[in-house]
Amino acid sequence: MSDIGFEPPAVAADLAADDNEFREYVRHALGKVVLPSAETWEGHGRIETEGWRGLGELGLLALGHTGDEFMRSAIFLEELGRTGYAGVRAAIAVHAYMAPSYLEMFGTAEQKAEYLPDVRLGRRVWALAITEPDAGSDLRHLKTRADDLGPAGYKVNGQKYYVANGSQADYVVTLVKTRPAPVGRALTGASILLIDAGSPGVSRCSQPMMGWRSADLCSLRFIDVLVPANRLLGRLDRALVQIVQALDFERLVAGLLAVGGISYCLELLHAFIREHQVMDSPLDANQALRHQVAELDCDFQLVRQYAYHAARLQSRGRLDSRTASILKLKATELAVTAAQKCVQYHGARGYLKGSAPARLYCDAMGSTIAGGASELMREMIYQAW
Amino acid sequence: MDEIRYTEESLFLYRQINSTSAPYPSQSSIKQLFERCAEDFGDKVAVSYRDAKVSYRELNRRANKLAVGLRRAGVNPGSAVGIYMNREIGLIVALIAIAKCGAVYLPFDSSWPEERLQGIFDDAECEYLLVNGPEDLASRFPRCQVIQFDQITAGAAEANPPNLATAEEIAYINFTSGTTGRPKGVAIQHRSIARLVSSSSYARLDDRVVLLNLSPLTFDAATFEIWGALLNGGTCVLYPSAAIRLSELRQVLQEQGVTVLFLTTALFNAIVDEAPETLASVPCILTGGERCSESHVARALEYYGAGRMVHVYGPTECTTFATFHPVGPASLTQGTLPIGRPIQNTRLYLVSDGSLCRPGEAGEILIAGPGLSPGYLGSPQSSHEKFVDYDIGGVRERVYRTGDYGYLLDNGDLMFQGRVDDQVKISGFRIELAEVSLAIDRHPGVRQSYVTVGEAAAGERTLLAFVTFNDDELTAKSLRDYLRLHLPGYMVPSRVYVCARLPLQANGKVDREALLSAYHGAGDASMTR
Repeated sequence: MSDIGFEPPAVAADLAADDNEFREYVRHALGKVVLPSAETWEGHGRIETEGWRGLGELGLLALGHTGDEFMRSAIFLEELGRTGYAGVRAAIAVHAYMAPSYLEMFGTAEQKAEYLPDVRLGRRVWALAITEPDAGSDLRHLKTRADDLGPAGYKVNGQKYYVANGSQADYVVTLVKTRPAPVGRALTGASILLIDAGSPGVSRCSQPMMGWRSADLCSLRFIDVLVPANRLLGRLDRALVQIVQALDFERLVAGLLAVGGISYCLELLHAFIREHQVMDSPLDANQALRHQVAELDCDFQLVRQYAYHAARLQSRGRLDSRTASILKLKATELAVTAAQKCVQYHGARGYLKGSAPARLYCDAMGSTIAGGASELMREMIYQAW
Repeated sequence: MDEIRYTEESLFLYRQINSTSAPYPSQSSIKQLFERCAEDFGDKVAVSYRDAKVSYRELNRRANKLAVGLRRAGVNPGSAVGIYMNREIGLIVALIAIAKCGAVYLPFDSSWPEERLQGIFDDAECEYLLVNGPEDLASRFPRCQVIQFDQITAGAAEANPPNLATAEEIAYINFTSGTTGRPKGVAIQHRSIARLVSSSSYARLDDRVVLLNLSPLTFDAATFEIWGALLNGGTCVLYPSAAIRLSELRQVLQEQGVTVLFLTTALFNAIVDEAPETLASVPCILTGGERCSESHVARALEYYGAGRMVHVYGPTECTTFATFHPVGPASLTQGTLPIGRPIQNTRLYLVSDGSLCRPGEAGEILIAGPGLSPGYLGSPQSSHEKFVDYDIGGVRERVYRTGDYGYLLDNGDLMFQGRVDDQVKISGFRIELAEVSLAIDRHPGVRQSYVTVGEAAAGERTLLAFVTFNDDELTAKSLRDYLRLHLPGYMVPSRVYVCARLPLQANGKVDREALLSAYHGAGDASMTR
């Protein structure tokens, strides 16, 4: 399986954040596959085919979504975040977690047998298409439509925005309307279809962002795209129920990734203020600065513990919307604060285009928007109180 | 500028259909786009021919060297370079090198009549002919400088030359047969090629695409087949023989892993008839160029399944493709196959008597968008007639009048009916040739058909049908008897010629002239069986 010197350790009965052996394996694997290529991927705006294959061969795309196995996923996601590239981590998480979660949760045994092996080996890239030009945080104005052709399947027309892995995706998990619904209740009568992105009628346009460069964000347009009947994931017209469950999982994943991102940012900041000399003293000779970094570290430790608490809930099948939203909100907003400090204390060299602090800042701003904006998270947390 | 009349309802429908704009490199020449691919995909296979595979880096290097040689030979930015080369890697190198010179490639076939060729060269002001064959073109065309591809002194420079052409300039010229008998040179800008192959909606064109170049360069499907791969980082596979054999085609498709293939209607029909397994390995099959055969599409759908075939339509003047329709089980519910919706960055209108047609109303198909040619070479009158500025809903729109007509379905899909020229009047009756063909094709014993107008002995116009049968019992007489049950008498062809096969032109379309001279011209009634 692995050619990085050692195999991933067997799953222990009681996995937790301190599964150091597995964490070590993941760090080595990411150091071999991701870190040497990340800058190239950022430049090209996507993860290269070899990257997907490499991750797949090392078993990093096949970690569990549920049960004890999910604790390994939590470690992997944190370590993936610690590579310091939010575009890379978003692309991988969408491929291995967010998009196939609909298959894992709602797919039939035949569908899982057909598609999961290629996902896990990185042979086919997956994407998730929910957002539309007029339907983002508020999905009531969903317009992408799938006409029922009976046994022949569906014909899809519409447009999706901000689809990670959009240019290279082989399959796109897509939210569509399958039944006319009352105005303002578009998710009544919506379904999830697995669309072959190579189908005639699918076109894609890059939507480059200020950060998340490797995430390969694209808009996808569907014109008379034919989708076989056996590509319906879950029950027809019942996407509303599915989406709620899948979005909780997505926010948990986003929170774990952000935790890793903060960790990287703080390590970078810490190293810099210890080494960089101002007026013949290292920056961290300044007490005000030390205290600010200590504050960040405190918040980080709390968020990280909360992240593993949420991961444990997921592994026991008890993740709730409130927990997932709190984690996503606090982790991604802390990442913005940390990145802002990181740029500030690096001075002009941190504001330099292409520098790591500048990248972290641009990346962090995307995380409070994607997968449910902070404002929506606050609303959901309040509603669930 | 004429104003097209419309109702708010119809304007809304066209705006929906025409909502096709997608980002594409509108300011880049094909030289720049190719060089970007060479940089991004240096080690990837750009061209594959038989056992040879050439990477982007190497292809770019060879083209850079050849471009220096061409410049030394006198080829300047804007020069038209006639190109007649065998399909091999050198042909692709030459096309890129010409683009790097900022020059214009002009595909021709030396077998075309002398007068036609000289007219083409004159219209295009073509001073250079780039060839790789032994033919003595220098004595046939003394006004042109013949450059032998193999003998050209390539330059040592391997770096990309400066950009000598902008996106607005002409990249190539295709000659189409004109209704006046004089071929018309259709000039195509760099931008139009970028529009065809970028953000494509009709087929997936990206760095994983493997496209087969089956069409001769003189046929504009080659634009799609070559640049669709090379401007996206994909692979262009060159078909290894001049003539197509289905067994070889199948082998090439399989071994080279072709992902997208374009076939003319006639060739597609022949494959469905004779060896449908030929296309078994191809995920995306585009077909078009002539009116489709309902029975072939139905059989293909059964064999290949939904979502793999795409019906495409487009005149040369709009750069290869203008509309597309993914073929599915519901595609034939209207009796014939739709030509669908406009491809990316393309708009269409149907106009009859100066008004936008509503669904169900027949009208001439007008195409707009950056795929449009700037006009015909040396033919301002034709350009003025065919490329027209209209005011449509308060927006100035430059359209190409295709001379084809069709109608829209309620869902916005375009149905093709035929050429305006194919609406013939015989004995005072207006006859739609496509409608006659459709009736013939519906007979289960008919494999393929071609309907046209010829002259009867007394010089009158008469309806002729050329058919191939898959039923030995069927005769021309029994087919005519069948048609009498389904068509009014004036629409039943006066002659039905039974052919072993329908001859094709080099571009894969049915060769009308060959049919007329072989059958009708001979006046041999026995062939009608």
